[in-house]
Amino acid sequence: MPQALVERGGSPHWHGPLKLLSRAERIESGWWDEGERGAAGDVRRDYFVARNPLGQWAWVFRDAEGWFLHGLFA
Amino acid sequence: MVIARLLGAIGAASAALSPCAVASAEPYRLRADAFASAADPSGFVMLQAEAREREPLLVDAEALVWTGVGLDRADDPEARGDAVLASVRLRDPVRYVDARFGRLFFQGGAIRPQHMDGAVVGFRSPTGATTEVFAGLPVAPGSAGRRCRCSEKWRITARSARPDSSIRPRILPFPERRPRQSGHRARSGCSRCRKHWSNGAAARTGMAR
Repeated sequence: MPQALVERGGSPHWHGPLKLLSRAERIESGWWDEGERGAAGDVRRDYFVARNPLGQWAWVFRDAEGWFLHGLFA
Repeated sequence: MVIARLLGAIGAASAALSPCAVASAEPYRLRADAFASAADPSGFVMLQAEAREREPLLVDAEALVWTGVGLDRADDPEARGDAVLASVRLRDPVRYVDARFGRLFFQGGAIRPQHMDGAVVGFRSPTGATTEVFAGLPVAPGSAGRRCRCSEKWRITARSARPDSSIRPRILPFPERRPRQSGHRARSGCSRCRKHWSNGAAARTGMAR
């Protein structure tokens, strides 16, 4: 499950402030199942590759609810 | 008319841009977000507008501009400033029809979203079966509006799905038709495209671990 990120000054933090390294890539769920039971609904996420001060690379996204950490690069 | 009002609303929103400004006044809804890091330059600006004045037609528009990363990565197309999204969407409240046009990401099912300039129209039957048809031109990262030279061809894609259960639709045939590109490395792409796609593969691989 994506992990909600702390925001300070509008900037996402994960072991320090994250620097965005790539432009956004939009991934969204199907418009057709919004409102249907058990469906994800009309979700729109903008994904970025980011790096924290420790040099760790992360895959983060932003949606209407804020910033989330979705995964790490090994 | 509605689109013109939306564009005017977007202009008003951009004038009042703040790190996160939301104005909610039915039948219009506006949202403007900006992210910027001055110490290590990078950021983006996003504008969203939604109009419900003329139901049963819902209209929303959004624009996302990536301002780019610092000059130390100026040769990386992913790091250059670019208009990532600039699209208008029309749909009915029951979601039987959904149409988008402009610069957008087309979700073609199980493959990576395609960044395109074009239009996509989707239909959903009362039984839940859906069909989407897309036509457009690929966008190269960092091209600031210029399209990828290696694929300056119209691309037409159709996708159809039907509910396999009450939870998820199952993807059926995914035909894609491209004009013949003789003597052209259409599958591998140009150096810019190859880099773009390898970056995507790295992202997916990283996520799988």
